[in-house]
Amino acid sequence: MLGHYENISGWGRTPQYQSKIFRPTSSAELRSVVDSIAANNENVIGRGLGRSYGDAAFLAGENVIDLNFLNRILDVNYDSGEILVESGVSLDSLMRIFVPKGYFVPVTPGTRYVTVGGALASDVHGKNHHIDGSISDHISSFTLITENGQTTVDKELNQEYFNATRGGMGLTGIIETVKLKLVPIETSYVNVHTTRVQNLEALIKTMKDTDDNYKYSVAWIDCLSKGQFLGRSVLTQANDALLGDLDRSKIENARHFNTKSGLSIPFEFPISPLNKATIKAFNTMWYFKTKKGETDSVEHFASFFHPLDGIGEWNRIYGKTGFTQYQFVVPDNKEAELIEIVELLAKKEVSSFLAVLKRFGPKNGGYLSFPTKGWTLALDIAIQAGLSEVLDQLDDLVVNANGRVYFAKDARVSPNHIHKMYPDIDKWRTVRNKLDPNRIFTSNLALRTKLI
Amino acid sequence: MLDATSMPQNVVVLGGSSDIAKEFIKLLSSRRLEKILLVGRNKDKLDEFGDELRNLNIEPQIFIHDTRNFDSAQQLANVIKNEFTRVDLLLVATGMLGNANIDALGLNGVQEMIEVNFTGPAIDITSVLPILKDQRGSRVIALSSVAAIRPRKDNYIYSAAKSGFDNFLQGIAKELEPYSVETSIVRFGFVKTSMTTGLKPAPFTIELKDASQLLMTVLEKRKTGIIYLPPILKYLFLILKNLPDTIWWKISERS
Ligand SMILES: Cc1cc2nc3c(=O)[nH]c(=O)nc-3n(C[C@H](O)[C@H](O)[C@H](O)COP(=O)(O)OP(=O)(O)OC[C@H]3O[C@@H](n4cnc5c(N)ncnc54)[C@H](O)[C@@H]3O)c2cc1C
Repeated sequence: MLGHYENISGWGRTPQYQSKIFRPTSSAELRSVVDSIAANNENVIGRGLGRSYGDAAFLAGENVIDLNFLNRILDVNYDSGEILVESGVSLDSLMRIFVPKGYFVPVTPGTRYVTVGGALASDVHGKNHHIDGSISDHISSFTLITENGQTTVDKELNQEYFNATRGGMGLTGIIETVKLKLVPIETSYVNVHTTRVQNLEALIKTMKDTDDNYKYSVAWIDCLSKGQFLGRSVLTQANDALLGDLDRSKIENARHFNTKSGLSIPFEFPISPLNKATIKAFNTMWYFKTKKGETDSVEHFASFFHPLDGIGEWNRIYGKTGFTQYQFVVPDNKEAELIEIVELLAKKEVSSFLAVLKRFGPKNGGYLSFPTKGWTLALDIAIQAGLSEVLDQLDDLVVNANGRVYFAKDARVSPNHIHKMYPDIDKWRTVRNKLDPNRIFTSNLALRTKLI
Repeated sequence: MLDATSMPQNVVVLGGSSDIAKEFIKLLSSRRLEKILLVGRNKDKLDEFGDELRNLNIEPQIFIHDTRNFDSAQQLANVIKNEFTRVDLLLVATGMLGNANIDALGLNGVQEMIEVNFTGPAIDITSVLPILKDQRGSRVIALSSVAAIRPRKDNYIYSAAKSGFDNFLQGIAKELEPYSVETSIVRFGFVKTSMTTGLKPAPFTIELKDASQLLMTVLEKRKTGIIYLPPILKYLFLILKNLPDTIWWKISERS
């Protein structure tokens, strides 16, 4: 089968390259593509829905395999909630199929347009990480295609391979099928408790005191406000709604998930409308539109978990130069450093829509899995003059606080910093080299950060 | 690789001892620069700059090549292939100013002026072109000059060469576009460098530091096509370009 060169990038639309893209239509074809790439001593990386922000899901000038054709649900156990799916199935499809039947995915990122394979490769987390861990904590086994054919990787029996692949950014091979455990739900709604908080210090305290009472918790922070309002925010915490929590209008259709995608951004904005002034105005408006103090409400899954999915291709608003997402985590006792970082962001005024703050629970065994116990902050930043320097300063602060940046969002951290952030890289490499001895799986991310 | 803010890891510089190039490379070295190939004719100057870079933990390679030498131009591509897996940024800073008096220049002088500012770098770029196309994504920044726009009495040979080169670059930019290679043609105004000592500064003269900072912005904001630095010159030359000949020659002689 032939591949074709196409423009390619991550969700942040920078950096942009071209890769030779293969779109196999069967597992047999997929294997023959991998085989011929290996035979020619070429390199390749797998790609799902391209929702990683940076350079994880492509390889400049070389081969990329689009895995969206792997879209079948192979087996369902309605008693245990365990499903066996192909890796190209999206979380969106899983929700549309299983939510009405009383099951939800155990973990969902802020967009449901990700594939199961991509979610495992990044070991994604959701608003419930402090309670439920990340996606791989709900996966018992998967199959992996390498140049040596197909292997089954079981969490108990093949711990090393399992730990190298979850969070391994596609660099151990192509994940073909995944066994994932869904969680039972009564409704497709959550009971949301919203608290408006005046500044970051107060927020940190409130989250520490109350997070354990909620399955889902996340705060939206205005990173442009300063002084006594530094980090003013809106904290949303929630638990699954039960049938009894719904009013009559919702109860008839208590588990619906037929959300429509709304408007779509039809083209790249020639000049981005986002600038300091518009973003500041938006953040302020958004803070004050939330009622002072605390409020309770019932919200549908889609608007609570995936607020941006209603607008298709919203990444085009950032224009030709694109944007990057900076997401890091620092340990629990590093609140002072967290505040210092938010101070730096406010001072440098690198405009950002609301940043998202959340607390992670304990780390799992994935060598390169991002979540570690502590505070994680994520913010979208438009590419602008001087940004590289500011973000390098943030990297220094993060490294000094024993923190790390998320591979699924990164397209710029230096190799030096990456190796300090991820102390298990050597362990990971050893295992990876067993799975992929000729190192055919590689990506821009891997080359740029010298992961392999 | 280029990162999200277009910071390169591997850089090739044609005209590696040019003052503007050196200043810009020092800026890049504080970001992601790891490996660099300095190409130029002056071994001593390149070695000296190479040492400076080594102290900054950058790995410099030096290829002695006079842009007028067709044979070594042919080798350029091989040297790059051997030294680099990829070129993230090709910086073209080859060029010379010099005596503008055609009688003083003589045949050799005119030939040199044209070869160093136009045909030489054009052939060098042609030699590297297949590598750039193959990579499917990188950046080219080539230094042109506002002198390319209209000839003056005291610089028309330089101006003619730069104008040829500028037109060549515009074509190269189009040639590379389908391969996801972005080209910036930078028409600098008067930058104070060792090349310009003794010359009378023009309006909107900038210092080296400003020049390199402006190049950084070109890179970061992915400005492509023809770019005037400082940007104000775009408007100045919009006017100057359209002046009738008689007026142009009069004011250009005076400035
Ligand atoms: C709006 C938005 C919100 C987000 N919110 C969150 C969040 O809350 N939490 C979070 O953790 N992440 C979040 N993300 C990031 C996203 O969840 C991850 O980047 C995820 O990996 C994307 O999946 P994908 O299918 O698009 O994968 P891609 O982006 O296509 O690929 C990501 C990585 O997975 C690898 N990969 C993909 N498929 C396979 C496969 N079958 N086998 C092997 N490797 C494979 C690729 O090689 C690449 O390294 C968010 C992204 C967006 C755009």
